[in-house]
Amino acid sequence: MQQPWGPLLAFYFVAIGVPSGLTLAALWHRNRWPQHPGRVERWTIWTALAVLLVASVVLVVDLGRPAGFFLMLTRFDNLGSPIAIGAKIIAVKVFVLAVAAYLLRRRHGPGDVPLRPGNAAARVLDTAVVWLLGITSLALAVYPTAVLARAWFVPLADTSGAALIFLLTALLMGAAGLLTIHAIGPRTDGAEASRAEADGHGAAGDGDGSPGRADDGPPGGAGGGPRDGAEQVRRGVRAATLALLATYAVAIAFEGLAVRGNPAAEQALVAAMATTGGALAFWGLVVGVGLVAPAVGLVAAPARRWVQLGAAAAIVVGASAGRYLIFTVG
Amino acid sequence: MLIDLNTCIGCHACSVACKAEFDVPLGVFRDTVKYVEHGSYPHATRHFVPVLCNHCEDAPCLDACPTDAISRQPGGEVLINEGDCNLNRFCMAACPYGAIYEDPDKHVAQKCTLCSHRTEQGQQPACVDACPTNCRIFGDLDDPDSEIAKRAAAQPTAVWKPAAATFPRVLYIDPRGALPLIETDGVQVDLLAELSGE
Repeated sequence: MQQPWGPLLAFYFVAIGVPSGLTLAALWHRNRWPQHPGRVERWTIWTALAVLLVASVVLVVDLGRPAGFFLMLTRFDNLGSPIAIGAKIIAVKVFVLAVAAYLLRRRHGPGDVPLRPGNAAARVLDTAVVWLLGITSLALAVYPTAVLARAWFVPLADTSGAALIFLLTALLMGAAGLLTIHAIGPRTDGAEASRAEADGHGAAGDGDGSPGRADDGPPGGAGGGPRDGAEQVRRGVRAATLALLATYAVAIAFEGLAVRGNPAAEQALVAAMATTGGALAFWGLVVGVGLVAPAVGLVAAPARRWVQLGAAAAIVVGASAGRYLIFTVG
Repeated sequence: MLIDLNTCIGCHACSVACKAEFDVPLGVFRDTVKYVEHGSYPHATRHFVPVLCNHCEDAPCLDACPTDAISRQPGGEVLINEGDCNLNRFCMAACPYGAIYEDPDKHVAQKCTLCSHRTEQGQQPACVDACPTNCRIFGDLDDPDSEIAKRAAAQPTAVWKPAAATFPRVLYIDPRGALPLIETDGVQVDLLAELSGE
């Protein structure tokens, strides 16, 4: 049989998780700390847009007739085709992300200052954009499973845990994005969040308004003031990342059990694990780099900036390896 | 279509006729004959199994195509409209039989059409006409008076990869159980193997 899909599609199915994860992580971050300035949203929106556009270009380049790509967007006769639905969702999400970027610029303006409240129409539009972003991101996070489960050469995608793994790896990529954003650049958003919290809850600040640094304070962020608020945001992101890593570990374990009930998937998995490359990819990249290393780093040295950056990179590598393995095993 | 594996001799006349009819490029097939060796000396045997698009009732390729380029004809044939195909290869990924290939010249997905251009004019498909042992019977399975319906009713029939639940419309008379032996490509002869001559 001709192998229909190659490395380009493997890259596509790995990369398509990044914008979903970033958007969902940004929505969670915005809901958890609503008074923060728009740096997290701005980074995640533009990164998600860039990755979506790159993934779309890859998808088009992989076509035997790239000029016919528009047919996947303009034909609505076969809505049972997951890849047709996915192409349309990608188009919708790109548009909604562009609207979100515009709204953010209107509300936020240049510099790191708190978001300005809009008028009633703007708030309605903003709410609609948030819901659309959430729905399209969730759909794109699990849509590779719907596509790959129909492919005869991807038996692992046709298991009960595959959708959960695709969702969790997308969320982990988003969490890695948040870790990176909080680890690099100025630490003003935490300070602003702390000011907002201080305004709202009467907490005392240190008065100078200087941004706290993760690596110049004691681990755990003990103390009061802006530094404490900034640390609170970072601690929340770290805790969420650790929770996702734990859930991912459980999902992988349950996927192992689910595979045992699927002879084709079990056969493919055993064959893949019997090879040095497959075993190294799973135990080395997915488990070692993607799960154990970031978890240990975030628990042992949570306040270190380089640990957060390293953990973020490791999570992206591990999650990508997990998605790639599901695509290639078989 | 009904294929009687009792009478197939693996001559590839069907493959050649199909290649000639559609000018199929080298290296790909719309219709071919798989062969598999089974058993051990002194009971070793070789089975020949002609394979082609099964024109399934629940065709995965038809459901998979994002551009709606694949359609079912009134006679049950599943056909690819070349003009609407952008070669995303999702149909190839969805087909458990590997019946769809990428035409390197036209840059479209291609497969067996059951020679609809011939059958519309009352002719038989090229592979059926070419078969020297008449192991292929083409006709309307829903017509109880047709030869194919009578043969299918008279003998037990099987389909390739029944676990895929696609309900193929290419049936086989397979008394020696050859179909399960070609479930994977690995059973075919390794042409690179060195023969010891023992």
